[in-house]
Amino acid sequence: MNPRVKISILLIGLGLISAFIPYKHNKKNQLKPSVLLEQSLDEQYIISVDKVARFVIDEDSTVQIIDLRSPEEYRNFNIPGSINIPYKDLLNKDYEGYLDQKKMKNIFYSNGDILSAQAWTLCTSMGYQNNFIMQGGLNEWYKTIMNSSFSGERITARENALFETRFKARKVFTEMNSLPDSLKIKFFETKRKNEKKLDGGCG
Amino acid sequence: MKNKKSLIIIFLPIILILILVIFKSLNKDNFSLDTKQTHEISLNQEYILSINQLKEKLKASQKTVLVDLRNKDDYAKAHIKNAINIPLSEILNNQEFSKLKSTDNVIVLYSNSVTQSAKAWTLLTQMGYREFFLLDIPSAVISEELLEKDTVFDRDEVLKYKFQPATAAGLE
Repeated sequence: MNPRVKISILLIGLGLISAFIPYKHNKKNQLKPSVLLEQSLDEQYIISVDKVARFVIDEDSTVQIIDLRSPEEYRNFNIPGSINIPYKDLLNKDYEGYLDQKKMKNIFYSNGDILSAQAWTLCTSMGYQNNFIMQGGLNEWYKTIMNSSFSGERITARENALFETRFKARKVFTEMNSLPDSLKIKFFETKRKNEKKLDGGCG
Repeated sequence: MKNKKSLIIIFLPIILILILVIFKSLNKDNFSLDTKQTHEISLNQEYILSINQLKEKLKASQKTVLVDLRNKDDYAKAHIKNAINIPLSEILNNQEFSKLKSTDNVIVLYSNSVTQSAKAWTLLTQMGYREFFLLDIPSAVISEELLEKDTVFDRDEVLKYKFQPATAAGLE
């Protein structure tokens, strides 16, 4: 048989096989289901509101608090220092840079737990790192940080520290969100400018 | 004879590659939807069921199955009537669960927290099965008679509080 015929039969065969391989248009699913499941079961990716309160007071730059609610809800009030990435725009290219980075922890919150759990699963599944959920969302934030008060006879040192953190966070939250809209916008603009400055450096 | 040999040389690599491809596509540890598709499905929030919607679903279709994702101990203590226990950690290799899926059941997930069941929902939906729902109830209420009572619970994604601005906001 002519070697040319041989080669062409071989190539046609290979071509047919590759034509029937299912086309995967997204190579972003970097984790396998079994790995994702393992991480889903890991409690370390769930963060309490008290820890978030601590981050807010310390203005911790190693965390990035992400508000998944709509822009209207976010404008009405939000956790100081948070950025708004509405859940419906989560996979928007504009936000990829915020979510897919290794420097900061992403802490997701919404009103409850469902949206943040979904955002967590999707982002983790795409191979993004350091994703966390604020347990209980804003409902828990209000219940624990904004409305709780100490009841009992003697306060231990630990409880004292806890309530002091809550009180400070409450103050920051109320003051920040009570600002008129124009001032809030100004605040965010200066913040963004500062961030841009920080982001610079040798590329 | 020579012709036969050259045929073998041609077809052997083709068959080998075909076997490899089939083997790889049969590997179950892969997602069939991408994150974008899953995200789109999740935007339509109809898969989050309140307790009343669950009751309606149970009435409407015999094929509605409640799946309890908690561990065996929790399940033994208390669970919703007729729920099947499939711990989340075993969900990918569970025979019973794959049987449920292969007979077109409507599967309603619940767990200790909606965080767990929402994670499970997202993971499983991404694996391709469409008839998943998640039950939006606080974990403390799970009991045998839950479906017989006439109670309504707060929805998870609804804010129960209202922000009260400080009257004299500090304008520094």
